Amino acid sequence: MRDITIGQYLSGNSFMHRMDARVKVLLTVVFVVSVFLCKNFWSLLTMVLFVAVFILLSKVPVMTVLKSIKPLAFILLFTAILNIFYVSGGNVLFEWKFIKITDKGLYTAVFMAIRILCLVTFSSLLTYTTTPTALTDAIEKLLSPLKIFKIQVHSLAMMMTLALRFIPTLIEEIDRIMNAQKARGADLETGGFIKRAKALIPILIPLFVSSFRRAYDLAFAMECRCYTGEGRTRMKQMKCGPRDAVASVLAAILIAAVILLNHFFEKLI
Amino acid sequence: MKETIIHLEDVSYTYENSEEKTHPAVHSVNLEVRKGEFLAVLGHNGSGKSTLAKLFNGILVPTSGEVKVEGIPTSDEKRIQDIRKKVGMVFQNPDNQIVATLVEDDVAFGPENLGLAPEEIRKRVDDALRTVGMYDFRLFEPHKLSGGQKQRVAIAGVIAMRTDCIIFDESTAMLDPKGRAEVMETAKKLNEEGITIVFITHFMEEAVQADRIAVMSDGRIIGIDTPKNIFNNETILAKAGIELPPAAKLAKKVRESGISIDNGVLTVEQCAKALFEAAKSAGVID
Amino acid sequence: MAVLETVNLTHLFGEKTMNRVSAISDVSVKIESGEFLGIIGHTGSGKSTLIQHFNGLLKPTSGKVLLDGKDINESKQTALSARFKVGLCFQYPEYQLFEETVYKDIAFGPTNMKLGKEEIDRRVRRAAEFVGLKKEHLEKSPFDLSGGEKRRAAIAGVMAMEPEILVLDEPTAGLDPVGRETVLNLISDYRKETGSTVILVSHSMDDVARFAKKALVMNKSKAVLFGTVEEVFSHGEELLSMGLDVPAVTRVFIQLKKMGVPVETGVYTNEQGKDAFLQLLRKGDC
Repeated sequence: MRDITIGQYLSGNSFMHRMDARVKVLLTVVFVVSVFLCKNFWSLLTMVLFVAVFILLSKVPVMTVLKSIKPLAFILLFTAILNIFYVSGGNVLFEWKFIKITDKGLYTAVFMAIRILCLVTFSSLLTYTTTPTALTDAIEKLLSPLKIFKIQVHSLAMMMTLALRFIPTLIEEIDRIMNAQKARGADLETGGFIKRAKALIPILIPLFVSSFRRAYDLAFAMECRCYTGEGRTRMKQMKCGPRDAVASVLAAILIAAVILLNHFFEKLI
Repeated sequence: MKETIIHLEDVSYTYENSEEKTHPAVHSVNLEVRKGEFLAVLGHNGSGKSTLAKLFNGILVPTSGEVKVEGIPTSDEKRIQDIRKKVGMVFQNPDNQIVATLVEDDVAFGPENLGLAPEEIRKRVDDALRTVGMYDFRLFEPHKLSGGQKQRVAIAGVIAMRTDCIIFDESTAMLDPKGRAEVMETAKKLNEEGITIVFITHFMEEAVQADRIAVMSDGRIIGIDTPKNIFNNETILAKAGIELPPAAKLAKKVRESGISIDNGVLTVEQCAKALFEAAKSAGVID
Repeated sequence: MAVLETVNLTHLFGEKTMNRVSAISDVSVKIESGEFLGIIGHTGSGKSTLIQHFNGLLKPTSGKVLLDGKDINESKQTALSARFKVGLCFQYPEYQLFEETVYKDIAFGPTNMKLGKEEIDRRVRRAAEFVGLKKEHLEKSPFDLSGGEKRRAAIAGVMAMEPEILVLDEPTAGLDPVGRETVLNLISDYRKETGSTVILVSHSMDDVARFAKKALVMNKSKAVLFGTVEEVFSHGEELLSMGLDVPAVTRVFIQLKKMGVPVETGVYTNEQGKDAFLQLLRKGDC
């Protein structure tokens, strides 16, 4: 439970930390699209280089970046295995009864794994270098055109901020309740599905009760601080600077490179 | 006579889904909170002190009677924001009043709601954090702070709105002794700077540090006076089920064995001083 | 023979940043059967980590916990049976209530012990009686009880397991003076009646001074003082320097000593304080 690092922010003052959060969010979107545009190893290599450049620009230790991948190890392995066994075509490398491994399958597996790694690494760079407040502010700003469709963009952003704020509090609370019930002999570790689901009741009910109480308290507290959802200003203004221009140029080069490399080299998938 | 900041006139409040309709949580309360004073509200759980707190800035509107903040009735929905700008509140559970994921962003929340200019907000946030001694923690995540520190962040969030009065609604109840002392000291410091403090508590040691104490029992204010007079009024103490603060208990015991000790002794410092004087006059020390 | 013993108990934590539990280092204590032990220390001193080793919720990094002379972490069975032999009641235990009725909630522990229906019924009623809950309370939803009643119902839930050792972490936190007295007295009565060992974790030295016979002081992950209450409180100034909440009487005497009055600072109850002071005055007479 406590190993979850997704959404975690590491304070710092690097190039990437000082970039405009809106640009960072857009950059991430561009990056994700580019990753899916990649058709061969050459274009994928550009992506890897791009990620490497931004790891340097963020000054986040490489070990920390690798840590964010850890919880996804299973998914990585799973997709890799799936690709190895199910992609057909190409030269057969190994055959035994119904199992057939081809070189194309192997390549695809590696390709997919690198793709996922790129996606996870880049999006965790975004959260490592952007405070949750800045992130939600950026999303609010970027989505603000949706207001013409009468979508309550501000409320959505506020809900996101509050959710992020209360995740650590709730994790602590779950831990506390679990310990308290274990001390009363609750068995949370053994038994079949039904038994385990039943064992969750003594944890979920107190959790709900306390979450409602917190929500109630929080609503009062926000009201007391003059929150109405309207007419708010912000302490931290978002400004685009030279850094953001540099990053945008890099992104443009990236897309161009991916398209060119896709075109000039043989397509893998 | 000092100016009044909050004026309660014959205020009663009954919770709507309460089973005992005839038993209001707050009953016919008349109270004047004076500008610049430190007023403690003392009473047991269920005495109505928390309901009273919520009436001060219009979170609850009285069932009958009227609460006025600098002349504005809290029942005037159009002016509720004006009231909230004057009277801020710090709650009991430090976790449930922090809205942002960074200390400074949380302190900025109030001023942002007021629609102030970014530079002005920045200035107020830094000032507020310095006042409560949390400036060095401005880039911390709230869940990494101690209970006392979280409450100080909450206090900073209120003073960044430049309110004239702060209500502490049992803000020390969930803290350890160190955290309680931190909050009490911050409240006293703000009071010295001219902010009116209403401190709701069930700790005698905290109440004795106020200018005046209002004692609540069963929804009513049964006495409002200086700490000295309240703690020497046996009828009020018995009715509200309040004990003397620990240092005053010792002073009383010594007094009862025939040694003259001033009946205004309430705090540890006062008690030590009084015993020192007594020992001096008995010739034990010079 | 000691009923519970820790031998060089150490618990270290890795770099897990979310983990708010404090470490403990090299704690060796022996707790005798039927004893009333108070554990004092401020937040983060390691006292909560220590007690979670007593029933095997936490596993030591090194060192041992011996229950009736046997290592509780020897096998899965011993660790599980330690959960029932050592009843652990956490801070704010009312947040663990979940059943439809108070009766069912108190029965949760005994049911997990796989006892017979009649035995469970006997235990629930006995525990409810200990904490002063009436028959009509048992059929109510735990969420309809008052704050103080909820706390007592939750404590009953642990008592109903009839543990050899009852460990309570800050059972009075957040309660008003009346609630505090009720809870402390019921714990004391429970011990007298059942003869079981009771371990009370508290910030309040006053409470420990009044109820416990022995005291353990935790500071910065270590057991710094362990002995009878008299022995521990004779280190008043040391305790104060650790940032602990020393009883008001002790603080008065420490101040008197600083002012140059020849007094001992080992007093911790009002009665002792009065006697010590009168004795001092008598010395002056002759």
